[in-house]
Amino acid sequence: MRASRGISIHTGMAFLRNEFYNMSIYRVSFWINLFYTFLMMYSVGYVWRALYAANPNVSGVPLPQMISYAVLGVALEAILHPRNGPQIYIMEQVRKGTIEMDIMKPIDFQFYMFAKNMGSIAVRFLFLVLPSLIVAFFLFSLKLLDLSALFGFLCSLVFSIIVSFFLNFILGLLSMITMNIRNINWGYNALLRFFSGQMVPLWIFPSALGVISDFLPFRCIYAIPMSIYIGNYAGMDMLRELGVQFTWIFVLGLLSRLLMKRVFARVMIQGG
Amino acid sequence: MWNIRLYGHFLRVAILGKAQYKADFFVGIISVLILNAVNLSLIGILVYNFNTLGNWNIWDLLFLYSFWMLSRGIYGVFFWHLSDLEEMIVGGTLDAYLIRPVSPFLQFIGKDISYTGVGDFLVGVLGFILAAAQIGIHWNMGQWAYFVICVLSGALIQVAINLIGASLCFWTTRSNAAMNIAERFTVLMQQYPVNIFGKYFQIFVTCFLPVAFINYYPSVVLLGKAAGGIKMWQYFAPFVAIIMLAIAAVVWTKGIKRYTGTGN
Amino acid sequence: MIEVSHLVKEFKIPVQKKGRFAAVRNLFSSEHTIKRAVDDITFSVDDGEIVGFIGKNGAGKSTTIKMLSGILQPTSGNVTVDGIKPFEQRMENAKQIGVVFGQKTQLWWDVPLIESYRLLKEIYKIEDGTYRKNLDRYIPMLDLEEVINKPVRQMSLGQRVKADICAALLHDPKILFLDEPTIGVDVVSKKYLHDFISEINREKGTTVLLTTHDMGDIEKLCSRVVVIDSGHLMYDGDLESMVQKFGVIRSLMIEFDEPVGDFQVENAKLTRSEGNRKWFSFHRSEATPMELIRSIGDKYPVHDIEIIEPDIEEIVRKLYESK
Repeated sequence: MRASRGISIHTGMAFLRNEFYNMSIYRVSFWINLFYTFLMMYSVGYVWRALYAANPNVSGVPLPQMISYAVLGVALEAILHPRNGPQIYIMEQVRKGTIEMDIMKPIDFQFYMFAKNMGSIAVRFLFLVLPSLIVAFFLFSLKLLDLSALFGFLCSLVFSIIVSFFLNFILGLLSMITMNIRNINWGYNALLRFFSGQMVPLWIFPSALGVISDFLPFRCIYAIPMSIYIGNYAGMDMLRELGVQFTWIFVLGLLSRLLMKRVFARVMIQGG
Repeated sequence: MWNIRLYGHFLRVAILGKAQYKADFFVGIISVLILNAVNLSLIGILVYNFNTLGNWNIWDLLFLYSFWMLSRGIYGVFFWHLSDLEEMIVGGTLDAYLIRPVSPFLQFIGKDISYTGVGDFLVGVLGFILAAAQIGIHWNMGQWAYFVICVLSGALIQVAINLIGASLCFWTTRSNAAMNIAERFTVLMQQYPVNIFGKYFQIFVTCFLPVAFINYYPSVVLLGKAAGGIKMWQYFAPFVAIIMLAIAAVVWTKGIKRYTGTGN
Repeated sequence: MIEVSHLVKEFKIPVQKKGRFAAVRNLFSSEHTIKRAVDDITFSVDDGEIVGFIGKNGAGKSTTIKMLSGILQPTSGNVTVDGIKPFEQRMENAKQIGVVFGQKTQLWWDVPLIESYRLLKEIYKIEDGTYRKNLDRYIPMLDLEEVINKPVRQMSLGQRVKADICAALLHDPKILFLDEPTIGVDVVSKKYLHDFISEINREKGTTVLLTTHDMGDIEKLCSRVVVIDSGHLMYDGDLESMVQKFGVIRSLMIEFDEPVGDFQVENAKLTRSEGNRKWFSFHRSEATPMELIRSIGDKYPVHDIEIIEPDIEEIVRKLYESK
C-alpha cells in the first residue's frame, strides 16, 4: 500500500472517531448488535457440544479447542463480514453517481477506502468483539494463548483483515463497471461462507473440497487466524500459514492496483 | 371482502412490475438455490463426520430444514419487503399511504412481491420429498392436514416477527439492525434442532421469540422426536401464530400512531 | 372549505451530543428538544380559491399541508377540511382530497402509468363513467398521451409531476394540495401544469392550496397568498395588496437616444448604467414613474422606458425583514 499525500496518524484518528460517532448515533442498533454477537457465540458452542456428545473423537481436536474456534469465528465475523466492507460504500456512491468525487480526492482512493474501513473495523472490534469475547471468556472458558501463539495470532489477524479488505475492494471496483454487482457480491458471500472455515472447520471437509479450499484465498480470512489461535498451527506450521497469507496479500494487492488503474481509466472516460 | 379484492389488485400491479425485470427473476432464484446448497452442504459435512446431531440424523435435519423453507418461501413471496419500512419512513414515502382511503397496512403489504421466496419454496418441496422418502413417512389425513397448517403457521409467525421488527423503525430509525439480526438468528436456529441448545435457549425460542414453532416443534410432533413423549403444547404452532400476529398488529398500529403523532 | 385556527405542531428532535466522549454518551442515553414547526397559525380558505402558501425551507409549509391532509396530528389547535377533521377522520378526509408531493411520486414506479390509474380507480372506488370521462379529458390536457403506457421510472420529471397531478384528480376531490409541484420541472411542463390547474379550478370549482418556491406559480395561479416564517403567519391577503405594501421599491429603466453621463434625480437612485440605458430605483410613496420621466425627459432625449415591478421573492424578503 502506497502512503499518500496528507495522511498521518492524526487523520487516522479522525477516521476512527468519526466511525465511532456514526455508530453511536444509532444506539439501538449498536446494542442489538452486541446482543446478537453474544447470542451467536453462545449458540455455536452448543452446536459443537451436541456434535461431540455423539462422537467425541472425529475432528481430532478436543471440544474446548473446538468451542474456542467456533466462538472466535463469530467474533471475527462481526468485523470481517462483507456487509461491513468498503464495497458497500463504493456501490452506494456508484448508485448515487458521486463516485468520481471520491476518485478525484487528492488522496489515493485505495488508501482512503482502507483508512475508512480500518476505522470501522477498529470501532467494531473495540465495542462489539472485545466485550462479547470477555463475557465469552468467562462463560465458555475460552483458551488463553501463550506468548508466541498470541503474537502469531495477532499477525495473522492483521493479515486476514488486509486480505479481506483487498477482496472487498476488488468487488467495489467491479461495481464501477458492471450492473450485476449484487449477484457477484452474493456469490462472493456464498463462497466465503463455504470455503473460509468460519462455520465448519476445513479439516473435516471431504478431501476433494479441502484441496479446493487450499487454493482459494478465503481460508486466509477465517481459518488461518482461528487455527493459530487454537494451536492447530504452531511453530513452523504457523510460519508457513502466515507465509500463505502474506503471499495472498501480495497477489491481491497487485491485482487490485492493476484493476483500479484500468477501472478508473474507464470510469473517467465515461464520466468526462 | 373489498379489502381482499383490493389486495388482489395491488398484487397484480406488483407482479406486472416484477415482470419488467425478467433476467433478475432467474438470477434471483439461482442465487437462492446456491445459498441453500451452501447451508445444506455445511450441515451435511458436519453430520457426515459426526453421524448425528442431538439424535437427529441427516434426513431428519433435511426434513427440519425443508419444513422451514416451505414456510419461509410463503412468507418471502408476499412479505419480503417488510424490511423496506425503514427506508419508507426515512424517505417519507409512507406519507402517500396515509392520504388514501385505504388502510396503510394493506397498501404496504401490497406494494411488492418477491421471487426469492419462490426459490426457498422450491428448495423446501425438493428437500421435503427427498427427506420424506428416506425417513419413510406414512401419515394419515390428519397428519397431512397438521403439516399444511403448521407450514402456514410458520409462515405467519415469520410475518409477525418481521413485522414487529420492522415496526420498531417507527420508534427508532435505523432499527433495520433488529430485523437483520432476527433474520440471521432465525437462519441459525432453523438449521439445527432446538434441543441441542440447552434449557434457557429453548425457553427463549419457545416463549419469547417463538421461532421454535416455525419448524422445530411441528417436526418433533410429525417425526415423533420427543424423548419423553409429545407434550400437548408442542402442537400449538397455529395458536402461537395467532398470538404473534395479534401482538404484531398492536405494535404496527401503535407505530403508525406514533408516526402521525410526531412525524418524521 | 378549509378552517385552520391556532394550529400548533411540535416535534421532538433527538440531540446529538457534542464534546468530550460524546459518542460514548450517545450510546447510553438520548436527549430531545422540542421544536415548534408550526406556531399558532390561523387562516381559512374559501370554496374554489387558489391559495399560495409561501415561506422559506423549514418554515412549516409542508407540516401544515400534512396536518390538513391527515398525515400528522396537530399538537393543538383546530383544523377542518370541508367540515371534516383530517386526522380524526382520515379515511373520510382522504376521499375528498387530492395530494401531490412534487419531490416524491405516489405512482407505481415499475408499471405503465395506466396501471397506476387503474389501481387508483379501485382504491377510490371511482365509477367507470367518471373514471373514463376524467381520464379522457385530463390526459390530452396534460399532454400525457405518449407516456400513458410507459413505466413511471422512464419518465422525465415534468412528465412525472403531470402524471401525479392527473392521479390526484381522478376521483374528483374537492380540495387539491400541491406541495412544491413545480420544483425542477421544465418550462413547457410548468405551463401545462399552470393551465391545467386553473382550468380544473374554474371548471370544477376545486379548491387549491399550493406551496411553492417558484414565484411564477404564484403570479400565474394565486389571487391570494399566505406567507409563513418559522412557523408564524406573516401575511394573509391578496397578492395585489402585498405588492402595494411590501413591494415599495420599484425600478424604472430609461433608454436614451445617445449615451449620457451619470446624473442625479430627486427621489430616485441611479442603480445601473449600460450603454444608452440607465436604471433608477424609487420608493412607491416618494415618486411616480411619470414624475421621474418628466423631470429626466426635460434634460435628455428619452427613447424608451420600462417600469420594473418588484418580484415576489423580493417582496417576501422585505416582508421577513419588516418583522
